[in-house]
Amino acid sequence: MPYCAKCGVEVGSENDNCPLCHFPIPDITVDHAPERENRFPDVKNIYEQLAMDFKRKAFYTLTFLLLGNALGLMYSNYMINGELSWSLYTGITFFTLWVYLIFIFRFVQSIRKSIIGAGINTLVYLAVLDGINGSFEWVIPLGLPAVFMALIFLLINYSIWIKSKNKGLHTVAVSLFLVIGYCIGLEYFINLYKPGDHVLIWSINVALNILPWALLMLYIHFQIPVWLKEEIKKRFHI
Amino acid sequence: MAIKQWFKLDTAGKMYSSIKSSRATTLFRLSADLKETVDPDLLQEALDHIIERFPYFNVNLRRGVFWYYFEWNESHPLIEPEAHYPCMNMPIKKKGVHPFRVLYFNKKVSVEFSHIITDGAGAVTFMRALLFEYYKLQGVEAQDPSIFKFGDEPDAGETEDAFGAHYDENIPMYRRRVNAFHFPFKREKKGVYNVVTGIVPVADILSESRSHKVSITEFLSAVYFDSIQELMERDGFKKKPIVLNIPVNLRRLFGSKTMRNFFISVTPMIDPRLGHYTFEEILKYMHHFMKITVDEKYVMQQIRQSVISEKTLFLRVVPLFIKDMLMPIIYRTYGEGNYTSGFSNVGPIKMPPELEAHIERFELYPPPSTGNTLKVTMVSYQDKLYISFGSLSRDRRVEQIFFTKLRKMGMPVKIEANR
Repeated sequence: MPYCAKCGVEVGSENDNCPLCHFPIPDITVDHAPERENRFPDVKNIYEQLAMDFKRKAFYTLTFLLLGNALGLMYSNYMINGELSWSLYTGITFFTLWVYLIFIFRFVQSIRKSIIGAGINTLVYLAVLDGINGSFEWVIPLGLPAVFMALIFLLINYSIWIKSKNKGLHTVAVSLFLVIGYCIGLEYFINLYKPGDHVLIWSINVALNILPWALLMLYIHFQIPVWLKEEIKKRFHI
Repeated sequence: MAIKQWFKLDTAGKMYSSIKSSRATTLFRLSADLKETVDPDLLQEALDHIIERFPYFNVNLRRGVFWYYFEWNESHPLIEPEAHYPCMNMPIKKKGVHPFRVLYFNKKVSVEFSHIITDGAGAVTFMRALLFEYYKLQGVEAQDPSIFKFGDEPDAGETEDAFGAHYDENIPMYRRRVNAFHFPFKREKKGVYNVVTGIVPVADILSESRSHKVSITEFLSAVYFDSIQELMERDGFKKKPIVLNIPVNLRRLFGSKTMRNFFISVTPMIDPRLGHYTFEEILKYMHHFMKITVDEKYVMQQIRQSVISEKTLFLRVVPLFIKDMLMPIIYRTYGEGNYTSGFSNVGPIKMPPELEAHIERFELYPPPSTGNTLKVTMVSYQDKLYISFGSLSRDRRVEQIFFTKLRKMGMPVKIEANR
């Protein structure tokens, strides 16, 4: 009978590793030893299939609703105005929402690819909205940097979240720093686009409100250093 | 016995029905390994027969306005081939679904019961009757008056709500809130349940327990306490009280025949913040704790505590959907939050000698729980004790420490796992 050299327990002959400590079990199978029947089937995870079925049903329902609404509005627009005018905006909006659903329902497995896909979808949506009248005005100076920055910050945030072994308040603090960075960047590009003073106002307000919370989270996570603790104790002990 | 068209849930059932979720399924499994491959047709026929002896299991959980209730189930329970992890969710609140299922795989027959309908003792009685009938259909004749048989009339006492019957509102309440240690293990994805079973000779455990002058439950729960303490100290987890939840079958104490839930949980505790406990100290504590708590007076107090909530008018008039929302939170805080793990010993399962020749073993798996990631159940059959750890995590540090301790005491241990 095979034994685990580390735990000292006997294990079934079907095990390559100890079920307790994963230490390799030496192969001592005798050729004429009777084959042991499995006690457990090759299991299927019931939830994966159930979740997939539910997702698919929800996606088809929402697709039907979006398509129905878009066609309904286009029909109304055509009957009232004799041409497709405002319904083009609703049509493209519904189409963009439908593309988002593909990423929200995780039909694209990779989260990184989903973020990039959603970013491209947003950019295309803004470009169509801007260029529907035949010329591009704000999508290059405003839409492009806003979407590009959001994309970069989201990807950075996601990478940090995935790579950090202990997810805690410090990871939330990093997200808040990125929000501050995004707001400052966004106001900068808005200021470039509009005439007048190029002073950062609302983004600084956002930063001043969020920064203390982010710092507090970092502080709570990393706690006070030992030397500072000693210093406080020395001066304030009762 | 006239079959009621519906009946109320017992006290434990009321709680389990509201905390049931796709992960905390409330299902526990009792399985029997036979010496030959299971014949599904015969098993179905055996189930068709014995379900008539257990009419109170041939029911369907339904929603009332204030409480769930069991209704007579028109549909017939069907056996199923085992295809999933043990104790996985089943939609028992749907119309026509039974609160149990019978599964088969190769040589193994398993029954999975929801705790909403019965406890381990009820499941053991059902399994013994099912196997008895299965072998009777195969032509194996056996005699055992303690086994429920097809054709016998169910006793009225089998459907008794024993909690309610033994409730005394004049007994003062006992309260203890503990912020217990919980295993900080990463959970597996949904739909996965890990079971590790250690097989130990009963004679070895018995002689070791006797040498310490304690029972098997006291001895093994002390080993379990010691294992958790070692994990906490070795891996540097924050020290918190270690509390076990040990269910005690009350049928013998009160002479009840009920086949529904009738147990209380005693919760022994050691507090590593007070210092390291030697194994001898834990053993001594466990022995005296069980002597004090498995006593009619203490038990009556526990029953009072269990039943009081459902007797309160305020709680009774709260609509069921609100109870469903609040109960999981209350259970997490005041139930599972108060203890580290569950430790349940249903004792020996005895079959007539004619059937023992055909049955290899029995195993009992605990219900998966999100609050207590790891739980332990055990059952003995013939000369072996089967100790099963059910876990929603892949982490097997506790199991390793536990079984290594038994090995160091000189007991042979065989380990099996479902993955």
